[in-house]
Amino acid sequence: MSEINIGWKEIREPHTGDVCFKLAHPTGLTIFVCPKKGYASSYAVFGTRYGSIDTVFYKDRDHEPTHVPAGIAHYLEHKLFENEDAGAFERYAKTGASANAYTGFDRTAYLFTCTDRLEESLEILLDFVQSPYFTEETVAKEQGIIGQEIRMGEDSPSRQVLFNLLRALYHKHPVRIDIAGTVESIAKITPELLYGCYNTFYNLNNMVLAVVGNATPELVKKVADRILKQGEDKMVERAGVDEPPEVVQPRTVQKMPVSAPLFYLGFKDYFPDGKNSRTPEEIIAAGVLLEILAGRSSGLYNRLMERGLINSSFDSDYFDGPGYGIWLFGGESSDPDAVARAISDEIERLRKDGIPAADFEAAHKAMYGRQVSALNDIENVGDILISDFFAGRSPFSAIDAAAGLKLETVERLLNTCLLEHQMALSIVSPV
Amino acid sequence: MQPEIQSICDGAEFLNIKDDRFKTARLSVAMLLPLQEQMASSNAILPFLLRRSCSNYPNFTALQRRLNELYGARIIPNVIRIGNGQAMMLTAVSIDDRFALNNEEVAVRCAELLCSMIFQPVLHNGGFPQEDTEQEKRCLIELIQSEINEKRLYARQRCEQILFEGEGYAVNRYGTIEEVGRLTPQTIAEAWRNLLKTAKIRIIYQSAGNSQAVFKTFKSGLDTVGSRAPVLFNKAADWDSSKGAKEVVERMGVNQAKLVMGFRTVKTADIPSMRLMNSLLGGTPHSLLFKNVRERLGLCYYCSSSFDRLGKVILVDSGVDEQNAQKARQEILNQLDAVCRGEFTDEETESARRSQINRFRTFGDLQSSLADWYVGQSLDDKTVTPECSARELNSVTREDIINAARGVKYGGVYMLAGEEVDHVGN
Repeated sequence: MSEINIGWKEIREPHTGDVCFKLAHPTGLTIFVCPKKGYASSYAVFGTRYGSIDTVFYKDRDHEPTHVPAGIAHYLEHKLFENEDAGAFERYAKTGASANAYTGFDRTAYLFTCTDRLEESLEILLDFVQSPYFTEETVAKEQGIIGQEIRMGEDSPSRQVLFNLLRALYHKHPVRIDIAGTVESIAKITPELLYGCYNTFYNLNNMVLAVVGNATPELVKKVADRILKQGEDKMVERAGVDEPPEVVQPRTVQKMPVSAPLFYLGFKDYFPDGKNSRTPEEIIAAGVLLEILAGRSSGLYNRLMERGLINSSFDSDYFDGPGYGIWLFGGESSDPDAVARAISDEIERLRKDGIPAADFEAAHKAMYGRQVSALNDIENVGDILISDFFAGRSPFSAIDAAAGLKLETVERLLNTCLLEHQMALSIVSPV
Repeated sequence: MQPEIQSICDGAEFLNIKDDRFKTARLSVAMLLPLQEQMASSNAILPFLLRRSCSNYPNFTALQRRLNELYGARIIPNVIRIGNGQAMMLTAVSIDDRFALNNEEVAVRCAELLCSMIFQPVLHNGGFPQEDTEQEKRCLIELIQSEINEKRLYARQRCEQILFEGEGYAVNRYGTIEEVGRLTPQTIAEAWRNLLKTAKIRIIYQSAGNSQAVFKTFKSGLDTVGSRAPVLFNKAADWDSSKGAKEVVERMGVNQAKLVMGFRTVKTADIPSMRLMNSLLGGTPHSLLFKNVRERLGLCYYCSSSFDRLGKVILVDSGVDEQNAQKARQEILNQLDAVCRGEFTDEETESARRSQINRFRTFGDLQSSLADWYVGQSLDDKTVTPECSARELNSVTREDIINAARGVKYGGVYMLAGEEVDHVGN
């Protein structure tokens, strides 16, 4: 790291040579700028550490937790697009930027991509997110639109099979609640509640801005200095959840209009020693272990294909966030229970026989390649920067972790995770 | 950046895009034949079967293992529709050699593998291996069956089938379950030989390195085919609107109705005018449809339009409460009428123009978008860059937009609705 300019720190990824600059802005906002030579476009993402899981929290050192309705972070995201004088989309229409926003389990992010007039678009982004305007009338109007969004989600088999799994795995952790909430929960949302959540979570100390592509630190700082509003450094803390290691139920089935059963087999991860998440190295190791166990070059994948139990939709992933982590296997199958048994047996076999060094080497190289490839496009780079920031990791930590991964880390996970009593199977089957 | 285009042989060309901004090298091979019901399935199964093996790695597991060793390189099989054409696609994506941990050559090795998969698949007695064939037949049947799962895509597809009934554009890119069921190792091998002999082939290579080794590899591959006789493709004709509009409602256990309206051209305006008209109508979150159908009237969660220049068709799709379907439908027609009457502001025109230009200009910054852009032009006489298409939008006038809107006519509607509601939204 070296100083390039007052306040900016240069961060260089040693394997790819990618460079980004980090600034702790006096308003409390952390800013990352990653200039990319030769790019026509820029991507900006302005995010807050506030997502659907934040339904219970402590603010301003309160002793009593605040409870808010499920789906409120997502509702707030919709409503922030409307300021008192004009909607954000109308403002972006004048610059040509393509704008959007999303709410995840642990964050809300507002973003745009543009090839021209970056300064103006950035000004719009920073301004509208800092200018909430909610009235009884505008809040009521959104109920219909979000109601439609919830119904659309209810019609999506891939979404239902995932949320049914989360509810089967988690007793208390709010990851089990749908990001958009329910028609009933959003009916309780009022302008006062929205302002309350806004003032708690949208303080700049709880937020991050990343700009990637055809951009310079100087330009971003100039806009930030002009638009960011000095706020008080409010403290907000996620309420901890006393989540037991066991699952709620081992199997859940929902009937929907689908052609064949869809399934997710999930193993609930348990973080030892009171930790809230896994390290970057462990997350990479999880991906490598899944590749060895069930990747396309594995014996298991080949056997399941031969038996006609899976098709090319089959995949596996390690999915995690604050206080939760799930080893996922999913796809379409005529017999999800048989697939679950085969996966379980393969885990046992691998524990007994051990991981062959050649398998580890090939999966390790593949994982490194995937992490490098993820830096291909500017939107991914922006999202990686804010994810690392929210998780408290250094930028681009995954690449270094992938390059230096040791077999022992993978073996440790194999021997301590993926346990039978932490397993649940979610199935969406044809009507 | 204009790609460098080299002819490999009759009907086969190689587009090289040298670019050192990316971490990956990307090689896209598109092989196009006319989309026809009787041949669609035997062609569609080919990319999936070809990616299973090659001469040096004769089974799927060994091949996948090799790809992992090449830093997780991926071979992506796909079938897409391009106008009235069926494009059998195989794409190889690997990290660029600069990022290999031990200075290995990765990109060229990966290109060689892909070339070998296409030209030297494992064959037994002149046919594809029986077991591989059965697996891929099952997977393709399941893929066709699963199209019903994602309702928005399914509704769009049904609307196209209704609008283009009896035309090549309506044929499913994967064919039918019945046709897939009838395929044998020999009939598929015959389709493979026919593909190599008669398909129009476009190969796009995007990398930081030298492309000549890859060009030569594919040239050698095509040399093994012998003389080629590439097929000719018919351009889509304008629609004869005397056939009248079609309306179909289907019911299924869904909570939210999917309403898809189709508009076909009876008099095609130039492409830039059609693109800008579509952007103004429903191509952005500040379009007329978004502002009126969703925001002002709150009738749906999404309402947007898309234009396919090869099919000469605009689809407007929306997710609505069935009770509001009739109102949404009327408002969509009102908004198109408003464009025909010139009832839109200059500011709205300029916003649409800026958005569309922005969209085109971003394509060059994403390898996959740029590859899709050039694959999409496989049947065109001339290849243009996204920047060129962006510039063309600058000369489109208000009158051009009005004329473009007047040249499209309502061709039909498809609605997928829930089962419990008694009344019909139409």
